[in-house]
Order: sequence, then C-alpha cells, then structure tokens
Amino acid sequence: MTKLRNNSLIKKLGVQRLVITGVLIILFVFFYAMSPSFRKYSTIVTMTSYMYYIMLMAIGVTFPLITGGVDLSIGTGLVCYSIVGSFLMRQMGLPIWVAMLVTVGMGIFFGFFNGIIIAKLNLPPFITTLCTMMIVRGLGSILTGGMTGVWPMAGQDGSWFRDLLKYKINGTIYPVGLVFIILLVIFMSIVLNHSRVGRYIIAIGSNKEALKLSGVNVVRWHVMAYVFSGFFAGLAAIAYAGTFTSITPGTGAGLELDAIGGAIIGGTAMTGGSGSIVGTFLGVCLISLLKTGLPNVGLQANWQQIITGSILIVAVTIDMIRRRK
Amino acid sequence: MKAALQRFKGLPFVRLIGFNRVVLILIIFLMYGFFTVLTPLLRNGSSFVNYNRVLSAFNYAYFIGFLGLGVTFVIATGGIDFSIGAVMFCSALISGYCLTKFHLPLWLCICISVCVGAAFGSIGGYFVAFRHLPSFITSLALMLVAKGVGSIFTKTQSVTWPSSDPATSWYRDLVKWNGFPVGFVILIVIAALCAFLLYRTKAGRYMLCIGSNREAVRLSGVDTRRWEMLAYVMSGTLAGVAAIFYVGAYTTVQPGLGDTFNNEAIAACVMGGTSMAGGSASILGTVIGAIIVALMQEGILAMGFTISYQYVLTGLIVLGAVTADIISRKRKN
Repeated sequence: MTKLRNNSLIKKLGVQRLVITGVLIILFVFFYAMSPSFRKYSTIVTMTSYMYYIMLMAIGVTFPLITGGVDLSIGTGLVCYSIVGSFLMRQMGLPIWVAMLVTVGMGIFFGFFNGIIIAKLNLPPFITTLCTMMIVRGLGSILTGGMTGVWPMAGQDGSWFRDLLKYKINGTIYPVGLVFIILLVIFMSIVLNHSRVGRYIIAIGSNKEALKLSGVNVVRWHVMAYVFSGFFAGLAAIAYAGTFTSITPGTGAGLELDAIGGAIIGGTAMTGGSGSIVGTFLGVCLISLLKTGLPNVGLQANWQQIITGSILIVAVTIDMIRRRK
Repeated sequence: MKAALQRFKGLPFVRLIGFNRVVLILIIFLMYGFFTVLTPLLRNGSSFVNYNRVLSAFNYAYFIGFLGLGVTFVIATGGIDFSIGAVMFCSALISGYCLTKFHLPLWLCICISVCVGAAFGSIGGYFVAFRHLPSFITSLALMLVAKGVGSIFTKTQSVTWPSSDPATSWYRDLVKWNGFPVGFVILIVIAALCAFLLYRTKAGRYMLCIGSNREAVRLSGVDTRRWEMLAYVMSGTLAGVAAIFYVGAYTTVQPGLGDTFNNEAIAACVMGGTSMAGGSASILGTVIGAIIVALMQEGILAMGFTISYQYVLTGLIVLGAVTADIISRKRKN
C-alpha cells in the first residue's frame, strides 16, 4: 500500500482523487447497467447542463473554503443576479452582453462585500454570507418588482449564449460547455497552485497569523477569495439561465450546498489550508451523477435533498477522521 | 447627560434586565410609533393601530420566539443551528399528517411533533459534539434532510391542520383563546424555564462555559460532549414546540419550505444580545428580539411592501448586531 502511494503518478493525482474517480466509474457502470433510461444520450446531455452551474459555483466556493471560511450566498445570489440580468434585457431593452456583464458584475460586487466584512471586520464567514444570502434573496424581487426572470429561448434574439453550453449540429446536441469547464478547471488550478494570489489564499487557511507577521497584506488576499467566489457565482448565474430559461425570484436556497458538498468530497478541508480545483471538479461530477442516476433507478426526486444532505455529512465526517490521523 | 445615563443604568429594574434589553424595549415602542405614523401616509386610509394587528404580530412572534430560544442554547456553546426552520416544518408536516390521515389523537400528535424535533436535534448534536463536525455545515445538511423527510412523508402535499372540529382543534386555544393571546403567556413561561436551565443549572453553566472556553472545561474533567449535544437537542425540541404554534396560527404547512425562519430566529438571538462568539446569552433578549422581528414583519406588510424587504432588513440587522458585538468585545479587551 505504501509502495503504491509513493508511485509518482499516484502522488501527483492524490489518493483521494483516484478513489473518487474509481467511485465515479463504478457508479456510472452501475447506473448504465441498471437503467435503460440512463443509457440514452439525452440523459447524459441533461446531466451536463445541470452540472454546469453547480460546477461553476463549486470552483468559486473552493477559494473561501480553503481560507477556512465558507460562502453561503452563492445559491440565492446566482438566482438574484440572473433575474436582474433578464430584467435589464426584457424591461430596459439592453443587449444581452450588457446583461451578462451586469450579472457577473453583481456577483463580483457581493463577493467583495462579503470579503470586506469578513477580512476587515473579522465577522464569522458563515454568518456574514448568511446575511448576504438573505439580502440577495430579497433584492432580486425588489429590484425587478417581483417578476419572474426570463432569458431568451432558443431561436430568439440573443439566444447565442445558449450555444456556449449546448451546440446543436444536424439535430445532435453537443455539450460544448464541458470544454469551457475543463479549460476553467485547468486555469483555476494553475491560479490556485502557481500564482501569488492562490498561494496566499492557501496560506491564509493554514496559518493566517504567520502570513500577517511576514508582512503580507492579508486583508487584500482574503477579500480576493470571496471575490473569486462571487465572480464564479455570477458565471453560474448565466449557466443557470441557459439551463432553466425562466427563474423565480426568492428561490436558489440550497443550491450552494451542492457546490460546497462537491468541494468537500473533492478533498477541500473544512478547516482550511488545503484543497484542489481538480478535486472539486470530480466531487461535483459525483454529486451530479448521483442526482441524475438515482431517479433513473427508481428513487423519487424527493430523495435528492436527503441524498445531498447525507453526502455532505459523510464527506465532512471522513474529512475530520482523515485529519485526526 | 452622562451622569443621568449612569444613574438610569443604576436603577434596580434596569440592572435586573440589563441596559441593552431596556434599549430593545424602547426600540419596540419606537417601531410601533413609526409604523403608526407611516402606514396611513403610505397606504391611504389604512391604520396600523388595531388589536388584530397586535395579535397577528404575536402569532409570528411565538414560533420565532420558540425557535430563537432553542438556538440561543446552541449559540451559547459557540455553535449555530441552521436547521431549525426546516425541522419546524418537518415536525408540523409529520404530526399533521398523522392527525389528518391516520386520525391519531391530538395530544399524541403534539408529542410526535416535539419528538421529531428532538430527534433532529439529537442527530445534529451527535455529529457536532461527538464527531466534531462544524456546526454550520452539519445543520445545513440536516436542513436538507428535514426538508426531504417532510416531503416524502406527506407525498409532497401540503397539510392543513383541522380548524373547526372542537375535538381536534383545541391546539388553537394554545395560541389564542377568545381573542386573548394565550401563546404569549406560554412563551414567557417556557422562556422562564429556559432561563432557569441556562443560568441556574449545571447543564446551562456548562453550555455557557463551553462557549467561552471549551478546553478549560474539558481539562477540568467535564464531559463537554454530552452538554454540547444537549444544546442541540434543546434547539430541536423547541423547534418541535414552535411547529405547534406555527400551525396554531396559520394551520397550513407546505413541504420544502421553512428555511427562511431560522434566519429570523437567529436575528432575534443576536439582536437580544446573545454573542455569536459563544459564552454569553440572553433569554429575555431573544424573546424581545422575536417580538421586534414579528413587529417588523407586520409593519412591512402593513405599509404595503412585500416580504422581500423583510429578508433584506433581517440580513442587514444581523450584520449590524454581530458587528456591534465584535466591536464592543474588542473595546473590552
């Protein structure tokens, strides 16, 4: 076992990530064998389009998690940003790229808001982002007068943003969003592991005091972690609009838990100081696979919340046991 | 001015309930005055001063109050419980389903409701105290589980508790009897019991000590895990009690909802002076906080705004209260 652990390839990938990949393959084969409806190509495409927004949120929330914090505002946040974006398009007649910019911009703004309060005023992250969660939950309907947000449907003006996620050639749908996701995962991995901002964010999670004493402007990099989270929540808002088209104000609570769960399964420690984007990617794949696969083998949709909740508790418990060693 | 303030702070009554609580009570009256003036201005002809409005605000204050009392214990130990709102709905759904579909006697259903709450509290408490999981993530996961269990048990249908038959609807008398707010009396009595438990018993003292210095309590030979778990059990149990008062006021419960209420309950706690850092808690403050939250909701609706404003305001109030607590702690040190 130790010999296996010391193998250079395994060392590079990490044992936990290999285990998750194995679980992913086993589950996929299981669902593939058990359910004829799962074998359809359209099921796979549906699974990817449900995966995009969770994946984007999860990549973002990995950064606050690594600092030892959390961001609970991303779920209701993405619904709020995407409603405001659609409002600008429908009611103000602005072009879609402006709406998309505003959507992402709002994400960055609220990420910055969270970051300043947490890093500068030293409020507990979970209570700060819970407050932001409430604020954005109400704000979406206040700003748009309580209307449902509707983004352009396929074939309408400005529906090109859908092609970024699913591209249709001769009637076959290709999940091109997957390409963007993989590129983003590679890019953010490099940012996390090989750039100054990434190294400082990891250092904040493992020993903030030491970093401060070595003369680093901790507040600035701590804020950056939440800005990343907000920015990706903004991107997730666009992916969410691409998947669901119409968005009800005040919803979205609980979406953040899928993302946080994915990051924790992927090996990001709740205590901060370690984590990886590739792990988050695999974790979200696992959650999406379970969410799509289990209803196909006969488990009601109602069970999904229980499944997500249980996965979360199991993942954190495993993380705790591993760290105790 | 300063001398007058000092003399006021020295009054026996003020010393008994604490200066901050006196300020909060003043805020209630100020808010009432504010809504009385603004409601007719914003909505022509309608008036805020009305006994029914007081009763309706009280209806909201009861269940927020019970939720708040429970979470006060958890916050005192330095943790947090985000599951209470969903657990309250889950309790109300399961016990209501037993009442309407299985025709169990009402007293038994009330027991079931409290037991469901206690069960969720025990699960959360076990993972936080014995498995050392972070309380916020455990309770968020339990929130999802509670929502799911509620939906599955009732087959995703809303449950309406009976309201006309005297044999199965006496639970409504617990909330309001001939226009008299009985629920308020019960809230005060349970709050007094909670205050006794927290300030005058070994269990309560240990919970507060765990919140301020867990390691010291553990090193002095106390099994901290047991007392920490008890805080979560209290929180769940009181969520089960809150469920009875929720249906007593509104009769209908829908599956998949309820998670907004824990925010308001936490808001009531931190407004009342319970510190998020743990170690200090105020039961009376939580009750007053719950009344403020309820009055705010009533006022916002009376002035013609939507519930969304309530969410935003609650968020801002909690941020303000926690910031104030942190600043005052820094100044003391």
